[in-house]
Amino acid sequence: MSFFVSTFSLPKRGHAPHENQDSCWPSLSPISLRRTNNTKEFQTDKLVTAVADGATEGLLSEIWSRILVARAGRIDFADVNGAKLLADSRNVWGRFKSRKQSGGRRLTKLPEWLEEPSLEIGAFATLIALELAADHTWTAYAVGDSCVFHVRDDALMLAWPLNKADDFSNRPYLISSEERDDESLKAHLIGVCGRWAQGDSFFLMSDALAAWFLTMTERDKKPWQALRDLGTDDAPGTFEDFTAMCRDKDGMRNDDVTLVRIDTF
Amino acid sequence: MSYSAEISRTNPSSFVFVIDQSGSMAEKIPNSDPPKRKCDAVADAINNLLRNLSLKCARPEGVRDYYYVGVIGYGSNVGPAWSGALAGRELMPLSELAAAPAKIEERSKKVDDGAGGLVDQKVKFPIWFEPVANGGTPMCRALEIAYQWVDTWVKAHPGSFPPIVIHITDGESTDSSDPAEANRMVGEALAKLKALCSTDGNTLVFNVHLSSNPTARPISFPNSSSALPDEYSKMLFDGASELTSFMQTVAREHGIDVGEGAKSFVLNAELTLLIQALDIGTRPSNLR
Repeated sequence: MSFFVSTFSLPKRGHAPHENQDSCWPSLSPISLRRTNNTKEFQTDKLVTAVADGATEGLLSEIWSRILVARAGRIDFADVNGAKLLADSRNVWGRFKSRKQSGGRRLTKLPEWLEEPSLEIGAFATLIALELAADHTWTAYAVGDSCVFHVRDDALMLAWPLNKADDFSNRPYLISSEERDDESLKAHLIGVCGRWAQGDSFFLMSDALAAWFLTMTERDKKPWQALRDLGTDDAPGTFEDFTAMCRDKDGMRNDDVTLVRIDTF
Repeated sequence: MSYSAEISRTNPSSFVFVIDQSGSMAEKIPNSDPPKRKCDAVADAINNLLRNLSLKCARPEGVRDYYYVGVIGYGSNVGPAWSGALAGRELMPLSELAAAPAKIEERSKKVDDGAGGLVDQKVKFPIWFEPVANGGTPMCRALEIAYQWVDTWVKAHPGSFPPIVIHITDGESTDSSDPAEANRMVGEALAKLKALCSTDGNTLVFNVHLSSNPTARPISFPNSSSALPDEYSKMLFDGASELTSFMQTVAREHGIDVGEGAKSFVLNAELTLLIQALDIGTRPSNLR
């Protein structure tokens, strides 16, 4: 099967690119470059994409979100459960911390008394992952308020896991790098599945853009039309221009913004 | 819409603590177990709050200056009340505060032992503000200094989330020998402070009154002064701001039933209510 995947990501207004705490999978450019968009064709029987939104209240949440999407991108969806994803991700997280701290090195530039409790609190992120299979089935799972939207023939088929703009709060459930309460995670890990047809598009988004998307649909608009053209010659501007317009004209929250667009062929 | 400004490094907000350090603050806080002096309880609560605020603003590259913080003590002295190297400093960025505690103590906290029990764990506890209990209660002089700090702040940061002033006291002003006159003066000082504003709203003033009476009933975040016992408590009620909707949400998380128009005022607070009031007043709502 042939899929075109485009990824876009920008930090909060006033923040540097390296301060962006969102991550997406596939990672189409070296993280250090943090390019704001990229497009690639995938010829595969099984395509996995993901978005994780690192939370401001956690130290190194951008690293944690990057680990989560990378692990989600490699886990077999047939076996998915919160415990395995979490265990794999925490192993990588633990190795990252040990490697950085080897030889007594400091992990941050924080005052010494503050580094240890900050690391104990850990990092937090939401996660949404989507698998498209060659038999025209799709499966998604999510923790928190990052969303997927399924569009067919210029109509919205599904908004998930949230489907109203008012559903977004400042306190979504977050996956913790340190919390050991796996039962709680299992309770918040939800899944959905369906079928896709050639020509369908899927959009994965972190919360600010997803809230904007739902606000637009509630105003009887078709926000996927603007997203569909991003990064193409048909787009009136860049992703930066589009995001600035959403923030200034439509009141989109000033947050990190990430979009993964999948076009099926 | 008021109280919706983003709090960021380029648009920081501020906290000013105005703390009663009069002689009566050496009394035990009623019903505390183990017994604790009011001045110790307040110092612990403020240091803990600053520690938690530093944690919330900690990033790998350092502490972000989402907030400027100042503390004014009033008792035998009136003025900035930081200890150690920061003594005499007025409102200052959080990163500088985090970098220079006067000392770091080791405290114990109870943590889950993973087997259904609790064990003591040692934690580093920075001290910026030390307990003091000495002299009279020159409340108006302290509120005048707070006014000057906040006035300077809002002029320099006109679009910021408005400053939050948290005033903690256990007694009545001694700015005048006539209690009624002292009461009137404090009311005026609080009204003047509350009138200072940024484009996002007026300064938010919390009045936290600590209990001296073990049988007194605490009153938390009332929206009417009708149940208050005297003119003094009515003055503190009138001088307090209304809780913002976010603060109301935090109050409800603490199990406190707040109604529309609830004021940021508590009377006869015990230790738990003091800590809850500080959390309600200082929980970051819109950090960017």
